[in-house]
Amino acid sequence: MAIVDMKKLTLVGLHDDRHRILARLMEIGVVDIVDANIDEELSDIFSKDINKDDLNELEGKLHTLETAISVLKPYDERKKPIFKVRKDMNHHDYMAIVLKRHEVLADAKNISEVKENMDQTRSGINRENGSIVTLNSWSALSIPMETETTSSTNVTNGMIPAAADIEAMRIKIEEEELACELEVNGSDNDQSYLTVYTHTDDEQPAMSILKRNGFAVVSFSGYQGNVDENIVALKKDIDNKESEIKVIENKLRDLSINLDNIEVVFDYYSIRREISITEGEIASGKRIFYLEGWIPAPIEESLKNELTENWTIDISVREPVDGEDIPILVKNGFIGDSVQDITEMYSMPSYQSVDPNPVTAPFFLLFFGLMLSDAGYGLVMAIACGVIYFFVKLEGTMKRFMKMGMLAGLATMFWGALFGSWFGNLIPVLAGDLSMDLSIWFQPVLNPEYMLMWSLLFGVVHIYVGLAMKAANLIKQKKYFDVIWDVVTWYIFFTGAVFLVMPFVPAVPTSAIEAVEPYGMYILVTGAVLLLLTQGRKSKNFFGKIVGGLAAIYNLINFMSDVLSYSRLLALGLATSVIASIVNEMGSMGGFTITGVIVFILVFLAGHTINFALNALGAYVHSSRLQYIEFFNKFYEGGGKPFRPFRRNTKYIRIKD
Amino acid sequence: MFFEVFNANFWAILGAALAFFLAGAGSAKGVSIAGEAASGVVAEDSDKFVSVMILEALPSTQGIYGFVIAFMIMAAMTELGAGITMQQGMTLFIAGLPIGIVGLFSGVYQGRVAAASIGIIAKRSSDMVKGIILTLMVELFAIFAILISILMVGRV
Repeated sequence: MAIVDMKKLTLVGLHDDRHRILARLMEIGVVDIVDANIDEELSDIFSKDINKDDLNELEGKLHTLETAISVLKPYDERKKPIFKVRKDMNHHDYMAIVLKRHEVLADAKNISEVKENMDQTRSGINRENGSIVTLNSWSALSIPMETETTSSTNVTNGMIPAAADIEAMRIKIEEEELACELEVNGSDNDQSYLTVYTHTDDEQPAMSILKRNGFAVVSFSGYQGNVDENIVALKKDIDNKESEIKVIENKLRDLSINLDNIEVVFDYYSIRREISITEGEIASGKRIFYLEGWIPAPIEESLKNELTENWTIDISVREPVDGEDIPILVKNGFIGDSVQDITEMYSMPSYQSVDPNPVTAPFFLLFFGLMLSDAGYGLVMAIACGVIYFFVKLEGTMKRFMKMGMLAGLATMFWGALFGSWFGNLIPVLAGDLSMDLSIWFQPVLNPEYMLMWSLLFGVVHIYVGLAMKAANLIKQKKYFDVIWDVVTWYIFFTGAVFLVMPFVPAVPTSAIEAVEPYGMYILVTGAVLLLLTQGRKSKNFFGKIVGGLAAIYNLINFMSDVLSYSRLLALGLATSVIASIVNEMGSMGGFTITGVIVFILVFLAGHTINFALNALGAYVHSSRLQYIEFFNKFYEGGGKPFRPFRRNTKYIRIKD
Repeated sequence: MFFEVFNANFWAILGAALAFFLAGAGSAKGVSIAGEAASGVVAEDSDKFVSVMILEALPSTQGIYGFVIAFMIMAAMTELGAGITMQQGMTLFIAGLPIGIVGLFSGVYQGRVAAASIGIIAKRSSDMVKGIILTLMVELFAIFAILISILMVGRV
């Protein structure tokens, strides 16, 4: 339930065993190997064994396999699970495929080539379709396409903008007494298609008239015979190519049975790459090598035993010293675990602080529930996520996410039941009695001010717990006096402020105000004086001390706005239940007839789905935000580096020993 | 004559209309600003669809808040029935304004922050949460606005 203690491991072994020891460490997967820092005095003995060629070769193979996988994926017609998990595979089966890796690699290369071939054929089809479009515009051409010149006549085909005045050009040609004939072979919105016959001697002047009007020569090189024949030929060729593609696609479909093997081999090479990279990080000498790394303290003994039994090595394990960059591994119970990813999205906690997850989790879940606050939605969510969590095979983040969804659904049910909201006011609407009250506690819609008071109070509690977390951090760092100066003083100060503003918050019982308000000013002033005296203490000069103290007092404003920010608990909660009620009432307008019931069911499903989706998203992001900004702000020391043990980082399979 | 046409019910319903009309317009604009940026990112990398969609959805809350207030004003009218006084009608009208006006502006501006945050995702999808938090900063004011509107409707 906390940040796991780390120890630093130093291992010295024989060079001949290096590869096997690394492979074994990878199997165990508990050592976060540190990029070795070789002392100068040792630099003539040890060096880093970085093998670039080997790595490049591995990268190349991985690339080939990856390409083959992405080519085959669309042709794999087997049913795919919704949530992707790595397949379990026992060591024996794994080795059997690995032995065939060269064949598989050759297959993968072949697949890439087939795919390339298909792409080329496809672009050929595109090109020919383009040609057909061009040729269609010329379908009125009366002469064979290859005609260019006769003994004394030039024939030129070309396009001219549709706006050009062809009659005017003809007149101009006549005026200049040129032997030139224009034949219009058709036109569309943009262009007219012209064939120009000129006497060889008159070609120059005739062309210059045409070009002034935007004439552009079109070459038909490569075509023979008339236009229609060519179009037919092209179409036939496209048909051929399309059937070629069909053949290739069938081939790929057949080849997709290789997908599993290719994936296994991909993982095999990525494991080898991992080892190769790590070999470049540890210090190797002629006869021996040494590596350093972090291990979780609890597994120290078992790791030592495991390694010393099998190899001639020297292992030493020591406590971390100050200033070392210790990786963070958090280990939490069932509930704390569920928000781990939300915390990590903010930042990894630092090694010198306490793990915030066990405290964050209940607040996150309860605030989520308050903002969604409908027992019906909560029930659906808890069941859906619960079924996936318990019965579908999932890994890591996805599994935790489903667990969080399930717990958040339960929290939503809890609040929904307290507020009497089951799919909004579904039950009262069905019963035809809108004044029916199902709430165990009270209905926020009818009494928003009371709910506002509670929302703000939850905020105060959350912030106070945040301060307590700060105290826990300080205690862990053995700064006991700072607990008094940096936590207790704030408690006094904030409590005074809370008492003072209580009369301004709606719905606070007068008895409570009368009981505490008179003391508010004294407590606030006490707190302020203490803060003035203590908050500038780290500053060296007198001026800095005063400014530090005054700046702390200003924090009161931050505190107030933080607390106000929790009013979103009310606002988002009300939004859900009001919209849910609107859906129910709109649906029930048809009355109790057959059409009425069908309309009701449709409106119910569509309306509640949309309302749930929007508000669940809202609840998730706003609940996260309350943790990040209002809560973590008070104590969180982030910036930790996650614990990344040297292990098999496979993508497709999980090897069981 | 004037107050026969522009009676208490008229003002109350105008308040409901403005609450939704302004806040809804703000959300529509905000979501469209974010949506344009989002489509650009998806065009480059369709794997980022879910993350940009979440950001795009954020400015839609103003419209929801406006909807809620409009509904609450109408519910209050139903409750008051024919006996609604001019003062109550005017109060309901004014109660619709905070979420209406703040919703309009915060929706548009939140959309702009969302679009900029989608830019973060385009570069580093791991920083999506930071983008969401930046975008939620604008949302706080819309939340205050709906809160004030709710409390004002409650006063009638």
